Amino acid sequence: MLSSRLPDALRYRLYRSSALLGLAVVTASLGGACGDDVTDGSGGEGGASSSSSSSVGGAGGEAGGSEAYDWGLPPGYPKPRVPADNPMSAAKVELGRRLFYDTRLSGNQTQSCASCHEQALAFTDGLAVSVGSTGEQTPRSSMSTVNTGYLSSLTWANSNLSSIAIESGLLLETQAMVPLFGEDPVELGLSGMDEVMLERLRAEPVYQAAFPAAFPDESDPFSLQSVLYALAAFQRSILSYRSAYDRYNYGGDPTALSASALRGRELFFGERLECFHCHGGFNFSDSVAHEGTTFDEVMFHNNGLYNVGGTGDYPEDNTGLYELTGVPSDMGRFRAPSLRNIALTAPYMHDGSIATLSEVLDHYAAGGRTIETGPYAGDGSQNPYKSELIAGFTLTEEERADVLAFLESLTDEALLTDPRWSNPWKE
Amino acid sequence: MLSLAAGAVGSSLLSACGDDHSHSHDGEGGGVVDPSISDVVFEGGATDEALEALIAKGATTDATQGTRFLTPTAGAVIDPSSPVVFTWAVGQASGRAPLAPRGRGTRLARRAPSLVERVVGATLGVRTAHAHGTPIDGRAYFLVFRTESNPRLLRVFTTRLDYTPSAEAWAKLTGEGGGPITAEITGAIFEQNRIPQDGGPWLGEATSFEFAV
Ligand code: HEC
Ligand code: HEC
Repeated sequence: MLSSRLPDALRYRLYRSSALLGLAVVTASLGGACGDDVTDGSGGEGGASSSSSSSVGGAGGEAGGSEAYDWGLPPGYPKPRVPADNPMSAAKVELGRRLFYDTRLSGNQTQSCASCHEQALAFTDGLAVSVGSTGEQTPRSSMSTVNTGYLSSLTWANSNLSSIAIESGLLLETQAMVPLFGEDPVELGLSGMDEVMLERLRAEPVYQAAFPAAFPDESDPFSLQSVLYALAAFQRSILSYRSAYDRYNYGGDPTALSASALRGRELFFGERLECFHCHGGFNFSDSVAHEGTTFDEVMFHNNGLYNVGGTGDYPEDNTGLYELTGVPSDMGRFRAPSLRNIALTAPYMHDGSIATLSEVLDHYAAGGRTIETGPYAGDGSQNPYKSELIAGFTLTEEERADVLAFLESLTDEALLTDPRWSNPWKE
Repeated sequence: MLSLAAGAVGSSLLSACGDDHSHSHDGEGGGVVDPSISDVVFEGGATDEALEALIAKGATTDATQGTRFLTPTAGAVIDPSSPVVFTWAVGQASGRAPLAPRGRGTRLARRAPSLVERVVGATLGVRTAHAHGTPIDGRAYFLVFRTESNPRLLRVFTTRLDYTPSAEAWAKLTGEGGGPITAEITGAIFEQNRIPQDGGPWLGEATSFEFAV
């Protein structure tokens, strides 16, 4: 059984540095085809921005059967990269959808993935930080699971997950273990209960058909690996490509964007605001890989959110990449999230500490946030580790409205109610 | 057969752009703009790398992916005294003409740009050649205006779905002296300045107009 090989390091403190070795070892045991030569303990250097050639590449995507699977994407739109070991199929995606919405995936059967990743909120939870099944708070804010199939790194700041992406492509497969089994904090609270969970699933008539349909080659389709693989396939299928911006930019519909949003687009992609350097490309993030890309760009930046006591520090429980690497210049460095559906995913930043998009613009315009009083007081614009691209700018009121109109045009209304990704247990 | 057709359309595209597209990329890498596109006006952050990719690939026709002009209407007789806005849509994307943009383009033609406009214009607005900006993700359009005698009267490469000629460009169009002007768009979908397999390019429906004398 896969579970019996899970090292303790994976079971505990998954957000913390000891997860470093653990995650690498787990990937090695998932999908033996690619994982045998994963190097461990390379986290120290992994801390820096890395751009490595990938062993997955186009071959993984094609061998993964993505050709046959219908993503539903319009022509010319990039397709997610699929790991060779976990090809897409409609049956697997459907099983993953069931699991994503199934509270049997939590120890006390009160929560599912969807509890913190709600479709109506573009698969976030609307909270500054999330609350797990036993009431524990996560240190960081929930992230959208939309377009995660395009990412070369997952979560706010985890360079180990990036290494996994490069080694095997089993990024979403591995990441799902964190909410399932993590103990610091407890999210779904299944640590040590994987057999209990599988028993619950075996007893469900829907699954008695769905697991074998999704994994026809497995002698025992009911395994932890199947759960992780199906969840990953479902998440890979959740794609945002129908926003007003997409209708203009990919669909060629001139009525999709207002004149104001169009002006905002030019500001966003211009050198005065610099946004596009970190939130560029079709997915509005600089940590993106898709079918056909040969490089995995993984970038982490300090955008001047804190400067506790003028030392450059971020609050102790949320230091970003530094938490994993201990490298001083990694203080406060986080992944630039995709800005798709950003108008729906407030509050903003890794700790949900900015309430509105207008205040996000204030933060960037000032070149960093100043906190006047309290334990985190300090002028973020003076943070010595801040990216040089966060230099500040001025916007007229009209221009501010234009940038906001542009950001709002990234909302994909169709995604929010698309039945392919809704709760199947309610049907 | 398919490839034959594509080749035929492709060569008609090339002939519209002149015959000297030999694509010798000896100047590549040093930021040197291919002299054969040095006349092109770049708008909306469009890049010369993307244009080179578009020109290098033969265009096909596909009613769902090609563009249609919305304004001016085919055969329109236009008052030459002030620039008109050219607008288009892909396939059946939109039957309606968009509201005339009250954006910078229109205003620029009439009065001196403000400081802000000049700063923005310098990075993203109207540029001629040397457009090594942000790589394009999404559609971009190569708009060619021609007359019987001048196949490259005015050429524009843009990521927008509208184009308002600058005073200089307008003078080129109106200076031709009578006779119909044909406008034709070749569009493609880009991924970081490159055209993916299913990204075109597609040749749109041409339109023509004349100036009132
Ligand atoms: C208790 C709330 C909670 C639950 C339950 C939960 N998540 Fe999350 N999820 C989060 C938070 C918080 C983050 C950000 C984590 C971080 O950066 O430390 C996150 C991040 C993610 C990401 C990374 C997205 C990105 O853009 O990088 C994925 C993928 C994800 N979760 C999938 C899942 C799956 C699959 C499940 C069910 C097995 C699940 N989550 C259950 C709260 C939750
Ligand atoms: C140097 C890279 C960089 C630049 C430039 C940049 N950002 Fe960010 N952005 C980030 C990072 C990193 C985060 C996450 C920071 C954190 O949580 O501490 C972020 C977060 C955000 C968020 C919140 C995302 C969420 O899901 O909560 C928004 C909105 C945003 N940026 C918009 C912009 C806009 C608009 C601009 C241009 C004015 C811009 N960014 C420029 C790197 C950048």
